[in-house]
Amino acid sequence: MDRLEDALREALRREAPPQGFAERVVARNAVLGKKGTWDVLRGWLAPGPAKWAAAAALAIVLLAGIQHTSELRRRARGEAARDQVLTALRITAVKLEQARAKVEKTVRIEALVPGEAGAQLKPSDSF
Amino acid sequence: MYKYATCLFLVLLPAGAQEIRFPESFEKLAAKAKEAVTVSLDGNMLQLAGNFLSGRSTGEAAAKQLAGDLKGIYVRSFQFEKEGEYTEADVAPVRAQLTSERGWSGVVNITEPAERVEVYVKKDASRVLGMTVLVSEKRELTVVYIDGPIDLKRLGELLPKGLNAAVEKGMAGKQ
Repeated sequence: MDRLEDALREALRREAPPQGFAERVVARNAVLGKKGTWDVLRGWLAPGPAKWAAAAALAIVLLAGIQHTSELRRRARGEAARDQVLTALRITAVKLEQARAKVEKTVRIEALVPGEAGAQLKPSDSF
Repeated sequence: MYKYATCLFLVLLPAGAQEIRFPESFEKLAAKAKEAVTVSLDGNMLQLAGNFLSGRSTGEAAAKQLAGDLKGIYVRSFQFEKEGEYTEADVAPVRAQLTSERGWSGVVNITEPAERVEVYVKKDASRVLGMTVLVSEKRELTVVYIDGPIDLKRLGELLPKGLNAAVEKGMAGKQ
């Protein structure tokens, strides 16, 4: 009987775990508990009012940004075109004024000395 | 032969395209020039520009009304450091397009030793439908082509006094 008790005591006696056992168990649990990429993605795509609201808000912000950028570009193009129109019309005005002054001068000379200025004018001159 | 070539050019010209074409040599002149102004605005760009022209100031209001009716404004203006940077051959291709066969008539053509000023208009019975101004000086060359119906009275608001009447007088003399 004593021998049996001794054998049992020997078999059931407390024994300290091997070195690093606790760390290995924690590490193993972490590996088993870790979710895959698809699991994470599935979690994100799962319907939920908060997620849809966040997505809608993001879409609105993106659209507003795109529209704002496009409006800025349109404005820049329009302002450049406006400047070009004014430049073109100013150049036209200056050159037409130049033409007017030449015609006036020629007509004045023609009035003073008939035939003198006529030599400078081509048949198309009709001012 | 030249007439046939012109007709072919007109047939091939797509509708709404710029009628007066500037020669390729103008690009080289722009590179050589001390100052170069290049404006090419078709109808769409003029409409866009019209939205940004203020209706308050007199000049901009007149420009806005003018631009609204036009099909295009094209300007090439070059100022050079020294004389002889461009030749008659650079201007000739533009002048060659301003023929009576194509509806153009010269209203001013003044040639002086240092300068040549030409104004051509395209018109129907009552309206000016286009205007081209060519000014060749020793160190400067300017070509302005305005495509579309031009209200000379409105243009007059942008131009120095007296010029409008002179152009109208010139046109009346042609009719």
